[in-house]
Amino acid sequence: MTMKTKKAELYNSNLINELLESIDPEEAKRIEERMLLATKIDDSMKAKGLNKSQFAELMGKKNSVITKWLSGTHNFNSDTLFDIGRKLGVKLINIDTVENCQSEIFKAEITISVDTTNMDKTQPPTHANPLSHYYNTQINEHINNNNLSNYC
Amino acid sequence: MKFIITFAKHNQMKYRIVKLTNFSGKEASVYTIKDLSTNETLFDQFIKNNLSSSSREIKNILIRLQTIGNETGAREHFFKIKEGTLGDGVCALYDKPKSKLRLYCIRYGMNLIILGNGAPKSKQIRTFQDDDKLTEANYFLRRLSKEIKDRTTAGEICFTNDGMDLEGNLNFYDDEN
Repeated sequence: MTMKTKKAELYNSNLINELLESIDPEEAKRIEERMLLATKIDDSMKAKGLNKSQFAELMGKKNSVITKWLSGTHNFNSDTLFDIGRKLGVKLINIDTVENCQSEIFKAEITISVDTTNMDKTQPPTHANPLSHYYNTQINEHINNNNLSNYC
Repeated sequence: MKFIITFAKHNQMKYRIVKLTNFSGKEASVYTIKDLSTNETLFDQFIKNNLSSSSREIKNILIRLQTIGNETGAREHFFKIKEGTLGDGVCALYDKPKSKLRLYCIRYGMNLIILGNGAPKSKQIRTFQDDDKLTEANYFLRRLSKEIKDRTTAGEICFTNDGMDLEGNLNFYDDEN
């Protein structure tokens, strides 16, 4: 006997839509990221061939703690994430990009336009570029005016 | 000829398994059960019954279900498993830490879950059987899971090849006795 294939009725709940729209996007992102973090830990455990009990033993924790970590609801502290990362050989927190982030901010903030009509032509050039003195003066003024000295 | 479908009696409730488009995505399909006498789903009932007392928990559950459907799939570690009988897939979704709100589901691997109803589990009770609402929600899903299993065996319901969907006769009559 062949079965007649009948697809399920699709149902869209207005109540759910209204509630989803009312949720703070930052809070929603936090909930989602906790789940993604738990997923990454679970995948890393599996890649290492570890079940929950073996991982608990490796971390020196009870099984119930690992269950909580993997539930996707846990708010980890950074020490725990570094410990897990070391044991599983994965990076759960990326701390390599701080310098790069600052230089990006610096580059964006010092973009200036040069109006050569007001150039101080009485000052001698200090570099091969005849406008270098003018540029340096303008950049220093911009840095001082915008409190960017911490980035220099 | 063996009849697997139970025929409606006067006091039986009629239900249909429906696919919730609010949460279903590329990673998992999320189904729930519609009461055909009211046209309301069990999951909407769950929200309405608990929104005033557990608003934050409800919103947390909504985002978690959205993430399951679109990002992670219904991974086992997101659920408190073995809340039903052996192998029936009845489980509860974890939500906010220290929250006592239980939402019961039936989980079919990573790609399909059916949401049922639930209620808060008070600290005063040890097991869900001590609470009428939790017991009702849990045992309803146990009966549904058994019916799905029976119909799958009889060829009346099937899972699609990708495990994402249920097809076939998805109407049920529930007799609590």
